Amino acid sequence: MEKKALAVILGLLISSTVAFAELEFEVLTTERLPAEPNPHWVWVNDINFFSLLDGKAYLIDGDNGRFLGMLGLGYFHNKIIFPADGNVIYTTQTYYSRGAYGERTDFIGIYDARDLKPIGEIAIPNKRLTGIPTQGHTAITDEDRFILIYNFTPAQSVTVVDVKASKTLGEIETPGCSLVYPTGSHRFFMICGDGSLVSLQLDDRGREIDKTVTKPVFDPLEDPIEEDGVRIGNRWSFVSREGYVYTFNGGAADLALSTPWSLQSTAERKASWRVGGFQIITAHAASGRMFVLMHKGGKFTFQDPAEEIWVYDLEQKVRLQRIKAKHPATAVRVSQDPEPLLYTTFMGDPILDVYDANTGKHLRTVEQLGISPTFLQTP
Amino acid sequence: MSRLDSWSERISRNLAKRTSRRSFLTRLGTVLAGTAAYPLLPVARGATEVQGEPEDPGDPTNCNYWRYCGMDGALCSCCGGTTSSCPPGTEPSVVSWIGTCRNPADNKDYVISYHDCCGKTICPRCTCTRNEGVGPIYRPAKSNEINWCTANANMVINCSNAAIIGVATKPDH
Repeated sequence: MEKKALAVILGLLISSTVAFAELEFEVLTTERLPAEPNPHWVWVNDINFFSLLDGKAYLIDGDNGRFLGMLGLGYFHNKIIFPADGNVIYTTQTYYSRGAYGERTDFIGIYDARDLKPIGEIAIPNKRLTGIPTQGHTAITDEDRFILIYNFTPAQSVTVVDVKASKTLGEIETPGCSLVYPTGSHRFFMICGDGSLVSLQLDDRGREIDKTVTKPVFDPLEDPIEEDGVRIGNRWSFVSREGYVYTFNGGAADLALSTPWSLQSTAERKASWRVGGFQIITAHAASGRMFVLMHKGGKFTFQDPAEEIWVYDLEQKVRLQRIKAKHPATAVRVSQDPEPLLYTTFMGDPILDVYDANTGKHLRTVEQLGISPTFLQTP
Repeated sequence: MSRLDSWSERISRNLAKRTSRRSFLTRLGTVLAGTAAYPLLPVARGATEVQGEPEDPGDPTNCNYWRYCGMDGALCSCCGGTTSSCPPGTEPSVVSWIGTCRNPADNKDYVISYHDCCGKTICPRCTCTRNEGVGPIYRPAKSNEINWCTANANMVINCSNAAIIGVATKPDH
């Protein structure tokens, strides 16, 4: 019996040596992203709350959950800025020479979009708003010429950077008004503390040549609009804390407001359904659908994580679908291709959930995405 | 209105319990998100009110402490400071935002100045988000989403405190 067993083991050993060829020696290389980005790539920005000096951004392939690469982006990282050509990406970065103290340096970092290496810098004034990231901290104008950076020192202003000439052109004082939202070539608007908007037109040297201030268009005390908006064509839509949709026409000097409408029915309001999170809405431009993070909660729960994602037809002003969130979510983003994916993340749990945006079916969860993911972007 | 819990506290606890992450996080996130707006449970209220002074009740290292009604940040009281002092080696922010919180001892609404302490990397303890009476970023004087160290020579934020600077004649939100 023992002899038989030994023979079997020997046989197995011999056959296993025969079955596999020796592995080839390897030469180390560095990965490079493909020339054509996949429309299902998503950037997860991580403010890294427990080490704010070391903000990061991770690039994930939504189709398979693969982690493709990352950027290290310094103090109070906000988000990435994507020009249309897709060859480079920009960031606003802040560092101190001795880590948390010493000389402060603010600049726009320029990265090769394929190998994610820094290839240049543009110095900017040490004034940019630092805080919880929102879409409106920075913007690039439609012709990809000017990067706009909202400053808060606490004086309010906007730094205008010419990315073509790689230099900062100057600063526009914007007392009472905050954040920047592009509306065209050399054009953008800001939200003011009294509920009005201001639309600004720049000349070719980045100087303000026209300014239109609207009347107050929403009530900033009783029902302020959330800071993140969605843009389809030149129509910007925002949701208020109480769940009303405000749509502005970016093509009109007065940003003509459409009649606000409600996301929730009366019964849903009674049941305490409300919007919440940090990046609360996203829109799929081609189909005109808006996705909204919703939870049940009281008046000041506007940052609480979503239990569901509600889907609306922005033009028809009707809800199409309710998607149950696989995990709590404070940020949402949809890809812009014909077969879109929907992404969510939660500042309290560093994961990325991926859904089929057409059916709402949960496809996968990507784990271990840093510490406190704040803002999702699809280039 | 006090809240049972704040979700940023949940973040800290979640991080501490990462070994058993998935099921724990899902359960906690779902359950607490649904109960976040409920009043403080009587048993918890009893536990906090035995601490502090009779005229200023509660535990300043706990997110439920009455002065933190608009808080968003790491509590300086957990980091070597107090509600009105900064930890060694840091400096009070020269600008701040203002909130109003009701003291349960005398039922008065006090004006609270939410300063940050500046000059060292972030203190990792007692993160607290309450948001009561908090406004959007475009109304900066009511916003807790701004780094209030912005006007200091060193604008690196270490923690946040909540000093009483007056009594409100009427609630401002």
